[in-house]
Amino acid sequence: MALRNVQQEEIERLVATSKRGDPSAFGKIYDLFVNQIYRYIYYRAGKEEAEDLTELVFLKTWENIRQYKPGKRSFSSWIFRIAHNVVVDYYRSNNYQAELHENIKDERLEMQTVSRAHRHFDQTLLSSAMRELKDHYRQIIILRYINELSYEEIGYIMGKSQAGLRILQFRALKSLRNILESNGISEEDV
Amino acid sequence: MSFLEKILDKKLKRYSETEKHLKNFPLVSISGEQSIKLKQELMMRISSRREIKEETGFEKYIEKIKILAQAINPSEYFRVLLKEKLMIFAEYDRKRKLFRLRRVKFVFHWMQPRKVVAVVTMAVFVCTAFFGFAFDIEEVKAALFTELENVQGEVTVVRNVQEIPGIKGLRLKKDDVIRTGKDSRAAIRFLDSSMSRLDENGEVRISKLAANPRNNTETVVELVLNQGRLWSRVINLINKSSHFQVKAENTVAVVTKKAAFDVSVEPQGKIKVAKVSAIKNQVDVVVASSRTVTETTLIKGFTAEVKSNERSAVAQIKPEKIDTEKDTWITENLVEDEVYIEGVKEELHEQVRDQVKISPDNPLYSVKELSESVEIALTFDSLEKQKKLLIIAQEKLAEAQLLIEKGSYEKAAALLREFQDKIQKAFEWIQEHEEDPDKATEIEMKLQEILSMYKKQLALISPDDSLYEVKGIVAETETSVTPDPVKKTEQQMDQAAEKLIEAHDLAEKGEAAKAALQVEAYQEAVAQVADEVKALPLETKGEAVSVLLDAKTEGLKLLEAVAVPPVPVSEITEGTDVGASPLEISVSAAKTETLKHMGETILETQSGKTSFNVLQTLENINKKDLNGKALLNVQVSPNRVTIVSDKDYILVTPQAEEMRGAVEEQDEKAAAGGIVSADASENVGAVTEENMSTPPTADLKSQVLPRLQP
Repeated sequence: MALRNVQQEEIERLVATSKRGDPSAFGKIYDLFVNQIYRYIYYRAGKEEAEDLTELVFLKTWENIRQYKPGKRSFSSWIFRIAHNVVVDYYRSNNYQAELHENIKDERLEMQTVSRAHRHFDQTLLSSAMRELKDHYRQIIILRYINELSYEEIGYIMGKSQAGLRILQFRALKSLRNILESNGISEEDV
Repeated sequence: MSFLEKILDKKLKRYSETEKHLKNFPLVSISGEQSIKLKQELMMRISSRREIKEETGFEKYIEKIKILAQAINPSEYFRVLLKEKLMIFAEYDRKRKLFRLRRVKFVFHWMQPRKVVAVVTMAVFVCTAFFGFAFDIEEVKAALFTELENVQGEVTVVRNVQEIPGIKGLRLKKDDVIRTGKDSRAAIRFLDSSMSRLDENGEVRISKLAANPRNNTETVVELVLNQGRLWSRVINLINKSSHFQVKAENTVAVVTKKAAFDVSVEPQGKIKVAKVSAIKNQVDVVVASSRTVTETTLIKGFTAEVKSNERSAVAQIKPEKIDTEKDTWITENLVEDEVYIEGVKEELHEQVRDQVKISPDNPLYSVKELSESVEIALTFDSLEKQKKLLIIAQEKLAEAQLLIEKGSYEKAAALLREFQDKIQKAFEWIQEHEEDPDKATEIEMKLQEILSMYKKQLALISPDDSLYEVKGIVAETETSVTPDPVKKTEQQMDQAAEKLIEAHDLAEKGEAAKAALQVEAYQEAVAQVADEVKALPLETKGEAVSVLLDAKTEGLKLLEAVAVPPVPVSEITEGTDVGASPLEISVSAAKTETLKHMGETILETQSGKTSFNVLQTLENINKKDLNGKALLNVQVSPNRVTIVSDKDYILVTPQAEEMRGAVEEQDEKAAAGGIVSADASENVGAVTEENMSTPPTADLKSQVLPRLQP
């Protein structure tokens, strides 16, 4: 936690410098966040779009950085909010969900043909299971456990109360567990 | 007042003094800021404790998700590329805003005592306000992409198991599979400006597409041909780290400079046959079987067929000569290639024109120069200043090209000198800032990027083009800013090899005399490099010699590819001169010189013992193959070097230096007449195994034998 505090201060300092138009400070912000943003988009929009949408997030971040007001909320929550909006725009413009469901059927069929002995909880299974989740379930899991944001930050990004987030988180994990079990992965296999 | 009350009153009076002091004592308290900070920390600690205690019942899943997700990261290439883009974008944005701010500050500072300067400066700024887009010092970078350049008939692109209709202009990505139906064709243009055309009923997968984000002339394109026939034309690869590759079954065809080649995969029963044909220049072919790996270089006019089945691959390369004129697929593609290359040249011209915001012959050009000087003067950071100077140098070169095209050679020459001057200054700046490696590396990479970019653009320029001089200037500049002698040797030999490629292209066009001149230019360049290497200190000489030997070996291959088209038998009449043409004589002389130089270079480095680098290179040279046969056989012993190449047999001894004059005369007579002279023939023998195994006679020990005629 102490480390996180130090990092928060450093980020706020870099943001302040970036707001004055310093590209190298923004470059450091990029270095700090690129992996996290990429992972967020990877699990929400897929591998194919991850690079393009990550680029868009950072461009929008630079363009709007002067509008960020420190103290009101953390920079992490602000940039992830931008990432969330970019993904939503992408969903709307690409009928993303409709295409996904068709793909899922093929993958589930493929997985059923693999014998239980060879199945294990790996990246492919995680990605596939995540795609089967409802979007807000997926999002809470990504933000909480993959991006490791606080409830306060997630609350701002998703526009939900912290109490609501806890319930959502529980339901999301339960749903994920059910999907994994239907694919032959029990808790012992994890 | 009672006695008790009096005592209390007295005590209270005493305490009231203390009370007064206490009241006046400054209060110690934390500041508002400290208070907020403390509160935040407390709240965070409280919430973190709550989080630690929180149990979801899914801890195992959560742990696993965290571990798996850590492996998801963007590729290094993407990370670096995106950062570059963002920095350029942010820098551009910053400059636009900052320039306006500085303009205002500058004007107010100089206003009162220096009215004349203020008026001039104001005029410049007013102009820049109107023409700001033209005077900003900014970079222009070409975008890299791979796309379907042309489609004919039914073409499909398979991307992540989804089929997309292949339409003209569709951008292609790594792992895309392109399929053509019956009577259909697809032309693919790659990010390195190469072109491939897939014939009907074909399927090719793009297995790799990569470019170095810091220097996008360093490119890799790799394809896998699953079925059908694929024509490929590589036009301007310029770095050793770049290559274009087509894999078919267990055969890989690789090009590292320029070539036109054809690859096909055909099933013949249970066997699949992969065929590689070199149509222009040369192609390296590697065939892997379960037990061996066979490598060779095919020069133009040669084809190699490799058979493989599911269980094993027969790794045999049997090169054969092909008649390119009888194959319509080849002839049609050669014609289409010419159209494509002209199109690329035009695009490159456009890029050069885009880099020139104000032409040097425009009246506003001097204002632009003044504006640039002002911007440089206002840049106080030495790194930023150097970056801007490099961008200006880039612009000078583009402006020079424009002027040459317009016929203004004198002005162009001045701009070229300015370009060289700025590059040299950047090089000196790098040397001065060696103690700050980050800054020095940044400028060095920028410098290399600029030179590589122009080298790639100018690779298509032939000696009869007006811009050929610019090509020479860029090459000269490149070597002048290379401090490392080994790298310099490599660059110089690369530039020399470029002359042979130019000779090949000229010969193809039927310009044999010009081709011969280029071959001679190659010889002169190589001789100069050899002299420079001789003068190097011992610690770097070994490595430089290895580089030289390696490059000369590659030069021999290129010389084989330089040939005049043979006179068809049907056209030979009584008066037809079927003797050696000037080009053949040049090529023959160049081969002999190269072999002699190689022998002398090896002897030079011996001085008692040959360096490890040279030994290693010799071992590699002996493994090199051309058209399925060994290219060279180099044998080194303490007092002599023997090199056998096809029908050539060269023996070099330390005494050969004294004999050189006489043998050279003989060589000239032999070459001029196209036949071996009577005197020289006594010393010349056919190369047989017997000859090679028996030691030379006393007469031959100190002679360099002239080249045998076939």
